[in-house]
Amino acid sequence: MKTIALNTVKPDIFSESDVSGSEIWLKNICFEKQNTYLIFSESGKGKSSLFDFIYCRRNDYSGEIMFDGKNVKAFNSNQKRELRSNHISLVFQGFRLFEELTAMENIEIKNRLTNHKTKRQIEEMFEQMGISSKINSPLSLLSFGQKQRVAIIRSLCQPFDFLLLDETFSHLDETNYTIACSLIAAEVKNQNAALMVASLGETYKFNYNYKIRL
Amino acid sequence: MTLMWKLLKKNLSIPQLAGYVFAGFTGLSIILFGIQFYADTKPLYSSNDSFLKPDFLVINKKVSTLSNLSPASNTFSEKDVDDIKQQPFVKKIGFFTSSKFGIRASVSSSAFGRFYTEMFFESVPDDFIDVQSEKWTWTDEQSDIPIILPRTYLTLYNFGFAQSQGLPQVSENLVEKIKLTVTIYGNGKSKNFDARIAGFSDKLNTILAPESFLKYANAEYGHENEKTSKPSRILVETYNPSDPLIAKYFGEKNYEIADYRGNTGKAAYFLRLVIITVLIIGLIITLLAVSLMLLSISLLIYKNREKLENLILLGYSRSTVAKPYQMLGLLLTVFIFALAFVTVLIIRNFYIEKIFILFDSASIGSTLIFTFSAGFAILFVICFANALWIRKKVNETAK
Repeated sequence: MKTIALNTVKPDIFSESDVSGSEIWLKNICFEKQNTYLIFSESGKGKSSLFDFIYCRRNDYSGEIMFDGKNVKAFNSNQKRELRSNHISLVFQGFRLFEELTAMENIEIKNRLTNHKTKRQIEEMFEQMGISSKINSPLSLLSFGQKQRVAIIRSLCQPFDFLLLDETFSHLDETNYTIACSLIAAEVKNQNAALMVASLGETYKFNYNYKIRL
Repeated sequence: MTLMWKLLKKNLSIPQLAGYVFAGFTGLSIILFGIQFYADTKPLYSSNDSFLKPDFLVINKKVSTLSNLSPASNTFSEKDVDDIKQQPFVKKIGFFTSSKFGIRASVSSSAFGRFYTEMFFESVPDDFIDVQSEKWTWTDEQSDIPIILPRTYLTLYNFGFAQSQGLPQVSENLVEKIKLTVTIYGNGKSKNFDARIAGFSDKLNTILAPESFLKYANAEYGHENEKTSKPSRILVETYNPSDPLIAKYFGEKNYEIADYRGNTGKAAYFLRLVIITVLIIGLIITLLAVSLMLLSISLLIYKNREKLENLILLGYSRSTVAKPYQMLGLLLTVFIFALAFVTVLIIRNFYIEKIFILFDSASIGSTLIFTFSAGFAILFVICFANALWIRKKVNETAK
C-alpha cells in the first residue's frame, strides 16, 4: 500500500463550521509512504476519529478515504484483517491491551499473526524501553506509562506501510519518549513506511516532512 | 490457541456449563436409549408374517360343541366357497392340502438329546407363500424339504418346555440351522428326508411344506378315499384387508378370521407409542440443554465483547476469534455424547440377553452401529448449530 487519500472527509458528528480551520477535514489530502506527518490540533478536533476512520474501525463520516485508489468503506472483514495485520499499525490512545495477559503475552498475541519479530528482538525492545523487568508481569500490575511503552512495542511487531501514533507519549518523560522515538523511527525507516503522529502540539523527536493542522 | 484461550475463558461460568453437560447428558441418553431399545426390539414390530402377504386372510368356521356331532359342519361346502368367491373384496381363494400319509420327525443334537414326534404337513398354493423361491422349492431329486412352523411352537418351546426341562432357549436363527429328520410312510413304503426350517409364521397355525412335495408324497404314500374331503380352512386374498365389508361378511356367516397379530400386535403398538413418547421427551430435554449452552456462550461472548473487538482490531479474523468458543461447545458435546453412549451400553446389558434369546441374533450387533450413527447425526447437528450461532454472535458483537 502506497497512499492514503482523503477526499472531502468530515466526521458526521461535526458541522461544517466546526471544521473550518482544518487542513484535513473537507479537503483533499494524500498521505504517502516514507513521509513523516505531524497532525496537530487541540482536543476534540477529531484526531482519534481520523485514525479510527483510516483503521476502518468506524464508518461515520462523509466523503471518501481511498487506499491506493480503493474506497475503504467497501472493505469486507477479510480485507480489514489483512490491512490491520500487514499494512497499518496503530497505537491506540486507550492502548487496547489485555489486562489478563502478561506484558510479553500481549506482544506475542500480536506478533504471532505475522511472526514479524523474533522473541529475542522483542526482549531487546523491552530492554531499550526500560521495562524488561516487567516482561512477565501481568499487565494489570503495570503503570500507565509502562503500558504505553508495551503498546508501542506491540505496534512495531507487524509489517506496516503506515504507522499511526495517537498521542502515544502523553505519559512518558523526555528521556523515555526520546528512546521510544528513536526505536519507532528506526523501524519506520526499516520498513520504508510512513509515520503519522497525532499530537496536541508537542512535536517529540521526529523529523517531519509535513505538519498539518487538523 | 492457548493465549487466545487464556484470554477468552475469562467470565466462563462453570456452573452453567456443568448444567449443560448434565441436561445434555440426560436428554441425549434418553434419546439414544430410546433408539437403541427400538432397534433391539425391532423384530417385534416387523415380524408380521413374512410368509403370507398382509392381503391374505385365513378363514375357518367356528368350532362349536355341535360341530363335534357332525364333522361336515366345520368344513366349507362348495356352495360356501362359491359364495365367498363372489364377494367384491375377494381377489382369489386357495385351499389347504393335507398330508395323507404318516410322518415321524426326529431331532438329534448334542444340546437337545434325541426326540421323536409324529406330525403332519399341509400345503397351500405356492403363490400364497412369500418366501424367496429358491428357499421354497422341492423337486423329486431333493432329499431336503423346506418347512414353515407356527411361531407359537417356538414360543411354547422356549418359555414352556425348555425352561421346565432345563434345556437351552433358542433363537429363530439358531432353529433354522437345526436339521430335522423326517420319515414318511404309508402304502407299505417309507422314505427319509431332511427337513429344513425355512421360517416361522404367525398367521398359519400349521406345518407347511411345499405344494409340489405334498402332491408327490400323497401320490406315493397317501391312502385313498380322501379325494372328496372338504376344506376346513380357506385362504382368501383380498384387495384391501382393512375393508370393513370383510369383517361384516364373515361375521354374518359366523366364520373366523385368524387374528395373527393378536395381543402381541397390540403390545407392540403400545411399546412403540411409549418409545416415541420417550424419544420426544429426550429430544425436548436435549433442545433445552442446547439452548442453555447457546445462551451461556452468548453471555460469555457478550461479557468478553471488548476483548473480541480488540483481537479483531489487532488483525485476528472473526473465525479465529469464534473458534475457541466453538471448540468449547464441540468438546462438551462430544463428551456428553460419549458419556450418554456408554450409559446406554451399560443399561442395554441388563435387557439384551432376554432379547438375544427372543430374536434373531444376527441383527443385534448392527443395532449398536445404528444407535451410534443416530447419536452421531444428533451430535453433528448440535455442533453445527452451535458453531453457526457462535459465529453469528461474534459477528454481532465485534462489528
